[in-house]
Amino acid sequence: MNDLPSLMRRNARMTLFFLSLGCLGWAFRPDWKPVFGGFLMGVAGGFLVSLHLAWKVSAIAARAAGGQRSRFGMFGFVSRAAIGVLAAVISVRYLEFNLPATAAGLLAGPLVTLILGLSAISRQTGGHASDERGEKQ
Amino acid sequence: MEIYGMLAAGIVFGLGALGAGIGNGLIFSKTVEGISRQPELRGTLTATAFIGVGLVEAMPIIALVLAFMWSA
Repeated sequence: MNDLPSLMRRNARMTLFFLSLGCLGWAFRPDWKPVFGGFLMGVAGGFLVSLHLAWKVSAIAARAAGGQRSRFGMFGFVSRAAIGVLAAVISVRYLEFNLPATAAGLLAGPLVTLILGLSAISRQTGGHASDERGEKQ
Repeated sequence: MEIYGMLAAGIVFGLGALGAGIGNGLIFSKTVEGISRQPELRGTLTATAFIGVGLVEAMPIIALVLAFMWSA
């Protein structure tokens, strides 16, 4: 169950959790609308970055498994960085949200990835350290 | 002062992208090597690579947004 589609499903679930947190904050504190709106824009941008990264990684794995030597596209990281900048520009310039909140929302994507990675590692090792040799005290 | 801000932004994003490039290269080289050796582990290796690259690439994207904040 540690393949990429299941990981992306869990990623989407946790991203929806962060989006719901932002919506709740917007609903209960309307005077903080620029902050929670910027956070929502950042979380959405971070999820788009994660989707693009998953598509790119699966394409690279498919080419490696197929033994192809074709060049990968040149716009991998540039596209993802541009998605982050686009989220920031739309959030600040057009919707007049808060830029630090947007940056915090962009951090939610890597945070979700970190949480999923740590949970996957603990599931693989059964809660024990990976360099443990099985001695019981 | 504005020039110094833009210079700092460029250095921040450039060094972040340099580190991410090195990290991505290491992760993907080992992933492709592993898939070539054991194609049946493709799903697990792909998920592990996704987690690693997601964490590596977070820093330059945040650095880019911070660079925009400083240079604005």
